[in-house]
Amino acid sequence: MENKGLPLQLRLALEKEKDAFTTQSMIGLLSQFAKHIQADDKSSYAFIPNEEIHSVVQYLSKENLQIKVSRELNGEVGILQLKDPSSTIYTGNFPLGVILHILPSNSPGLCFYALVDGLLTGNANILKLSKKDREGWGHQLILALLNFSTPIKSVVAFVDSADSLYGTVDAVSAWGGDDSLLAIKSMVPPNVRFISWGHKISFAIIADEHIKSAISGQEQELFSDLSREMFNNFQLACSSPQTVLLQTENETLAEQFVACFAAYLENNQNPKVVAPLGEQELTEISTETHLFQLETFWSAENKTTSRKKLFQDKGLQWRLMLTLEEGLSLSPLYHTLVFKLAKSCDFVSVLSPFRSYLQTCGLYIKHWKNSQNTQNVKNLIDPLIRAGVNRIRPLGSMTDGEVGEPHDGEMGLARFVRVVSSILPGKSHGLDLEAKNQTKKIMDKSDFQSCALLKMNERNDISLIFKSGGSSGQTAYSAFTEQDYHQQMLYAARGLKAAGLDPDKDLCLNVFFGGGLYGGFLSFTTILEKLKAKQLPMAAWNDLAFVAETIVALKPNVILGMPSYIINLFRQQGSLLKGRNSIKKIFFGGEMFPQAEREFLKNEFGVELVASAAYGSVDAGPLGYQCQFNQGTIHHLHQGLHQFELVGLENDSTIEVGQVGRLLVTTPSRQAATVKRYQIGDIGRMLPGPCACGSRDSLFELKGRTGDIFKLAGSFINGQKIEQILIDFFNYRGEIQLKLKKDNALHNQAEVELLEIVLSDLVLSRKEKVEDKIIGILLEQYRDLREIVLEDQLLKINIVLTRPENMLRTPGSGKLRRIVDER
Amino acid sequence: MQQVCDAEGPYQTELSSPAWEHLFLEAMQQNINWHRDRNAFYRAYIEAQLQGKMIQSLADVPFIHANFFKKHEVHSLGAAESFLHLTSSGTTGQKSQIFFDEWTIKSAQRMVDSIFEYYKFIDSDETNYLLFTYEPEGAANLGTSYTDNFLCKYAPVGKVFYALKYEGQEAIPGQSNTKAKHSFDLFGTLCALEEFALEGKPVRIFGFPAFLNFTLDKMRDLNRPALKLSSKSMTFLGGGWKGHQQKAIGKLELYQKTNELLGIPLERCRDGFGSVEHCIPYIECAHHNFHVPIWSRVLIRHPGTFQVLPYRTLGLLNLISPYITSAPANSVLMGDLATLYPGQDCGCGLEQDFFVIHGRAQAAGAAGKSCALNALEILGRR
Repeated sequence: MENKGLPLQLRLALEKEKDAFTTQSMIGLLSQFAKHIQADDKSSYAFIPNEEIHSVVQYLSKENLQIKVSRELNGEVGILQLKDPSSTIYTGNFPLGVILHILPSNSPGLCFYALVDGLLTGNANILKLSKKDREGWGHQLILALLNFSTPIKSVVAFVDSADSLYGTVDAVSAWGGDDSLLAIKSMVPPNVRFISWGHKISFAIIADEHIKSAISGQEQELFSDLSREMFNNFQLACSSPQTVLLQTENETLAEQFVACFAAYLENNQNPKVVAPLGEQELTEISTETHLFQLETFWSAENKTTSRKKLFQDKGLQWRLMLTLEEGLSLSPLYHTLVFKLAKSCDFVSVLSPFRSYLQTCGLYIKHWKNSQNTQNVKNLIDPLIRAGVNRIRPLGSMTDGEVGEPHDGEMGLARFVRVVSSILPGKSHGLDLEAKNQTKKIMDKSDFQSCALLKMNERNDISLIFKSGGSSGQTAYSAFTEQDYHQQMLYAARGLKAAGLDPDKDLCLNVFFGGGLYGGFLSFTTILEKLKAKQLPMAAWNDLAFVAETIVALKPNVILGMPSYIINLFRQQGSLLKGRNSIKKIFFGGEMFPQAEREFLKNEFGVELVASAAYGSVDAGPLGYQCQFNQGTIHHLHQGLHQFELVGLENDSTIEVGQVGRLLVTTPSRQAATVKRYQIGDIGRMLPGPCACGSRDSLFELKGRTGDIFKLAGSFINGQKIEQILIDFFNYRGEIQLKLKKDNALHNQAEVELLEIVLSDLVLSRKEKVEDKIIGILLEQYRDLREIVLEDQLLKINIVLTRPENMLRTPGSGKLRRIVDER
Repeated sequence: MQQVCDAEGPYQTELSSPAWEHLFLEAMQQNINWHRDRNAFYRAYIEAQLQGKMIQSLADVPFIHANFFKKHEVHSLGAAESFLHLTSSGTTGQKSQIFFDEWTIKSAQRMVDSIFEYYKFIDSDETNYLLFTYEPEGAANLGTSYTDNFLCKYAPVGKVFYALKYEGQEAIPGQSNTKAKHSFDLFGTLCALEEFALEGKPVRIFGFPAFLNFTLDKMRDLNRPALKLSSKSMTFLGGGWKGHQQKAIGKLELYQKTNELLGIPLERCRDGFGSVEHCIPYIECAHHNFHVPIWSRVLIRHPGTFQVLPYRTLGLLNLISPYITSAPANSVLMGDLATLYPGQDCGCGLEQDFFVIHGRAQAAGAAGKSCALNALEILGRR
């Protein structure tokens, strides 16, 4: 039987089309469909009723669908992410697989919206429509959608009978009354998720004070709201009120109120409103009305029964049935309102018989600015919710919905996904040494910048823009959506925790730079918030005395900031801090923290730990972190956030494990920027795991910046290596600037170049011809350099000692330009 | 009133004359007055509907929906005068409580006598009875059984076989007393049928059609041979399909099966229609139609406006008769959809109007139209 093979067939289609089924691509497809409908001028969509077409187009717009997914699902489907910094597992919402939708026959558009929900959550959908549905516009619209998009078409199927499917799908989503749901449920085995959308009852409440003022003619608005609810959509919506509860013990007042409302309806009746009553509805209404009428006589003569009163329209278009007792009752609808009492606020008892069916309660909220009235209304809300009401709305707008609102106690889209957890993130993240994306272009900084500008103009959900200065000197911008920013800060927080921050015990002094669009201070504030750590928001305050006093007074044990600032702080305020320093842990970023300075702080001030706060960049965000077992240049990479690749230094090919290469970053979830094989400028190599800290994130040994590597006299020279030699052999603790120049000489017809090494004269003294010594050691220790200087004779080296202020710096951040190419 | 109820019936043709119409109307007015004077609720209702005027036609008689009697005990007589109190075994879980006085009961019995006589169902030959009804012992108060017992008097009783055997008492959840339990004895029934067939005496089959149908289907399933019961046998069923709604088949189909498997002539397969609230018996003619006997009148009313509809138009069934004196059920509006036809349309020879039942009117019309909770859903559950 063909049904039997259908679920598997659909699952295979989902596998095949998985790229089309990411949330973002699906939103894209659906919004294009909406535009297609809007742009159509051939009446191809004339089957959609006029009053619905605008809603459909608006619903399928990109903005609307984004909001829906964000509100109902907290983000995306199909991506494993870290939920909080203390977690070691990645979790995510994933599609259920194949959903069998059994649709009711009472709503022609519903099948379309149900399908949209299924598609947004990445599911394949089997639709069983009633005969009536098949003639409806919803069905037609689905067919148009399938026609419009082949991927969507491959994951949607229609069936006439659901036999043999109940046990082979992943979920059955059924609409209907209790009896049909019960019948369907009995056929769905326990291993298949049963999602039911049952019938509900809604009601309205009118407070005592309004009953009184309505009787004296002062509540036209109340009557108009109530009448709107009664006539809207023939009162058929699950959110339309069936009963109106009058909050009064005074039966006479209750009766007068209903009489006044009846009079209002008579005077304000819309003659065009004629309910499309079929035979069954007609029978029910007339029978119920007739019986109620008999009840009014009965109750008049039998004092043990609650008194009843009927108000009816002469043209039989509406009915008001008043029973002077507490409780909810069902109405035959089609403009039939039941009025009953709610003498107290004991809603739990009054509503108890219908508790599991309760949906909307409409409250009359008059004059929003009238605080007394709003307060009275607020008093009702908690008791109502405790009694089982799931939705509270103003009278007059009970049936108005908002995108992404919960339905009957659940978030609609959440019912169509399963929440999955994994110790490692999925393939779209992590380390990809196979470089399957080789065909995609490698982005550099200027590519990044131009894409970022595009995105900044395209998207209207950019919520944060930082300046991204970097060592190259030009002002660039780095934009984030709310989601981008918080996701990145979450991973950075986890990294900081791994590096040694203890949110329970630490008091953190944050002295990163803030303001001027600078990201440091603000992002670490957020990171510390995510860790729920205690923090002192100092920023890189100029008044160092104040900062030192603060340390003494408040005794933070952690300081976070840039090395130069921190070093400066301790050197200048040494006298105040010595002996009274509470700082034990330093987390730094933005620059290197020279070894000598670390020793200084440890020896002189009792600092115990100096560690990198994060490994990252403003553009791509946090890339990695250090743990207690790895310091120096070795970092774990945030595999849950990015996908990493290593490619060759000089060409773009894959490299072997253990080789040094250029690091490329891809961030699939990034919204406000395109980060695809972005060359962030770092080079290094992967180290074998596992790490003793327990993290499964791969280990990366940072070897330097690509900017460290330059071509000099025909060879690749690593500036970092030169620096290291100076540090190691001369204990050089200062700044180093390498200038690449032409020598204006020739050797064997080839141009000779000049490497000028600029060093700080505060650190090295000019005595003892230190310049020659330096050159000597360099040539001895660095073979590539020796070759081009001594053998090829294409390079000369010059050492220049000068004030640090004379060294060239980037105008924006004040950072030193380590390599200056003046050729 | 007496005159109407005493009139020779059931289907005398000369009684469809203007004189009779007038007499009937007068009887109805008397009945209305009788109840008006004895029941406060009815008085209030009548006053609102008629405002002191007399009824001019049958359509003027204020009607009461049968469901109302299910909810309330409506009397026009004191409890002491109640001769019998019947409960109807309603399928919706609510029972009607009707109290009948002696006069009313005796009148109803006389009517059935009269109809049976008319169709020549009164016989002196000893007859075996197969009763698809509840075996007595706690079941005496159920109207259906009572009628059946009463029906056994038209032919001398040979053997009686009850298909729904009494199984003792069972607990009623939530209450301290018990109720009778019955179960359908299929094999006993098959055995009884074979025995009756062998004996050759006329067999009368009364009771619920669902169980007869089930028996016949099982005869086929089990490959039992078809039986040939005496051609003087008959079936007289009633009481609806009681909870076996899904298995309901058309009565003509059932009669075919009965004829095929039991040999009973088609024209001796009869159905009865009635309601506890309005005790006039309606019995099928040889062409299986319910002709209206002279003691009652039938109107068909529009389901929405309750206007009286002409012949051959579908609407709600309104049964009118002056003979109930214990409760104001003189014009009962049923929840059944029906069509009224002039007698000639039947072809059996009777000239009295007849009606055809088309099933119950759906109790909750909006059920299929909205996702709002409706009465049908929760009826059994609260």
